[in-house]
Amino acid sequence: MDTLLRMAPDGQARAAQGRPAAVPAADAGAYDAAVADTAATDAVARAGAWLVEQAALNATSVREQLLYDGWLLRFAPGPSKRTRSVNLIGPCALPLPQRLERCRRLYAERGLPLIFRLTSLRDGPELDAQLHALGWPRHGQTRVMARALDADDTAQAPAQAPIEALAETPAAMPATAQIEAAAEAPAATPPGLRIHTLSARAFARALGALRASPAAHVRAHARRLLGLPAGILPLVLEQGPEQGGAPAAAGLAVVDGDVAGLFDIAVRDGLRRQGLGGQVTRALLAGAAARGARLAYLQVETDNDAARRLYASLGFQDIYTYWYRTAPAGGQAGTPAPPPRG
Amino acid sequence: MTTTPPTPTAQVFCIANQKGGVGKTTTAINLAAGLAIQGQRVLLVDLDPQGNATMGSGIDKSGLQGNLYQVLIGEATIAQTRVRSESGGYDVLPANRELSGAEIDLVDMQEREQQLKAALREVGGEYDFVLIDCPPTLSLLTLNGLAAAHGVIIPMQCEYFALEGLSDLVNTIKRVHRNINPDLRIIGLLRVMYDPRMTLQQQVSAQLESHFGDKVFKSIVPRNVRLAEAPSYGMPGVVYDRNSRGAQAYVAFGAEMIERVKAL
Repeated sequence: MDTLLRMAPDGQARAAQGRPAAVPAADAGAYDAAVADTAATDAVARAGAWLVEQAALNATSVREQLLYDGWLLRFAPGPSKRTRSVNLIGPCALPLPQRLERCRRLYAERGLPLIFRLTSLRDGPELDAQLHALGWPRHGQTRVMARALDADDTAQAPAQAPIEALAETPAAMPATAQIEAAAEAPAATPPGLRIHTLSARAFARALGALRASPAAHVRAHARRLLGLPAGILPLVLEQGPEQGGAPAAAGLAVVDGDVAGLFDIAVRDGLRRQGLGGQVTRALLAGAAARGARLAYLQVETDNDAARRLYASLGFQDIYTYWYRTAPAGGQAGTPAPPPRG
Repeated sequence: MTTTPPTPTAQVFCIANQKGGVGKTTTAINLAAGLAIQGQRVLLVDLDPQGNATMGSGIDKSGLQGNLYQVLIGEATIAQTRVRSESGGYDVLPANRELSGAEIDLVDMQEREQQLKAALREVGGEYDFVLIDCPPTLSLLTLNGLAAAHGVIIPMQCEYFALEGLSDLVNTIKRVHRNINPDLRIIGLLRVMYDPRMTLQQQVSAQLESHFGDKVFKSIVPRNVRLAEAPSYGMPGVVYDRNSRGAQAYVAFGAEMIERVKAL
């Protein structure tokens, strides 16, 4: 958990490292830019992180949601906490107990536990401290990592159908590009893998197969993807016909203007540690760059060392953190204890 | 030209950024041409062994009589080495691969970081502006550029991580200022390859303005395909398509620089 402590609560950990604390007075005349440099870097980091947070909320948006006094309440049942939790998105006016009471009621009516998703950005830490004081346990620490996209990423893009054409395309798009074994991928990479862009439904099915998800989750995921207010690029890495053409890995880019989120990156059990996750990620970065995104982000749990190493090797850096707090069992309003899901 | 008295009137500026591909050479070439269009006498020094500023000015870097390398090791003068960019209307002190050898040869020389400054002294009176296109590395070549300059122009894209390399650059400038060249200052940040449709770029641009104030140039260079095409025709974008938005931005930036220099 020591890495957690190094992350400043306002998301400035990255920006604060290795910069001069102050410029000697003698240099101030010529180098006032040095001070502005640090402040500007922090400000850009904060502004950019907030843009990423907005894009991430868009990319995970759900049909049933409610905006209530600066809080965004989302009510999509399913395995993913981020689509059934309360998010702080603006200033609040009402007293905290009143707000919590209404949230308890709304989530209880839907049979959902009351969970807050808290970020290291803006007023997140303050609300976090308040919930902590009320005895709400904290869990599910996640890092948001980002990297710039540039022309080099675009150059690697496999030829693809326009993003608009994908959402309703029923079956897998034709195979578009042979994945070349990346230089850093171990020699054991299975040959004959091909990358496809898929429809939202086909992607949800492929991802469901990789994760062994129940059919209801697959259907709900497909419906949510089809309703997203952003362009989606669903990719699957498929084995050749000799292996039965089964999905080996999958991943999804959600392109929201100049910011692209990478989600649902999964590799089939038994095919891990062969560089497939990296191949999918690179293809997603290329596709997002080709669609005009200039910044890519992804969310990875803090204790998922393997994934964090992979993304760091692809140039991703930590930009902010989020985590959850769940209403305590038998809490003030008698909210039922939440299932301790990951 | 050679009869002009060596009065050091030229203002010398480095175009520098420790990131590659951020538009340094495009800025150097087009600022040179944009200043020339406005009647300024300009020398563009190509300090990058890749010679992109040389080629982009329409000069064949393989057919050179001499290049910056000979000037830095004292085998030739700038007057003997400079070439006219006919398309751009300015002089170029050209570079090619040979320049990368200067790193090694300079190491053993006295005042090794002052060679360019010394050479420029002889032609300073012939120009209003000397622009130095620095490589994206912190080498002895870059150090020669910073030692010779009055100021640094930092082109940058309005990207999330654009400021990452800036601290290193600012610290380097600070060190050069303290130890080698007390004249050196940051003249300003130039926003390049700007796309106003991008929310992120707008936000970064606004943050730069609010934190750096008048150290951010008012001129903003948009992302422009004509600027990107121009080098393959051996022309500055300002000349290749004078009416393009990119060209107009660099002409405006030239005017802004002329005003700034008056205030220095």
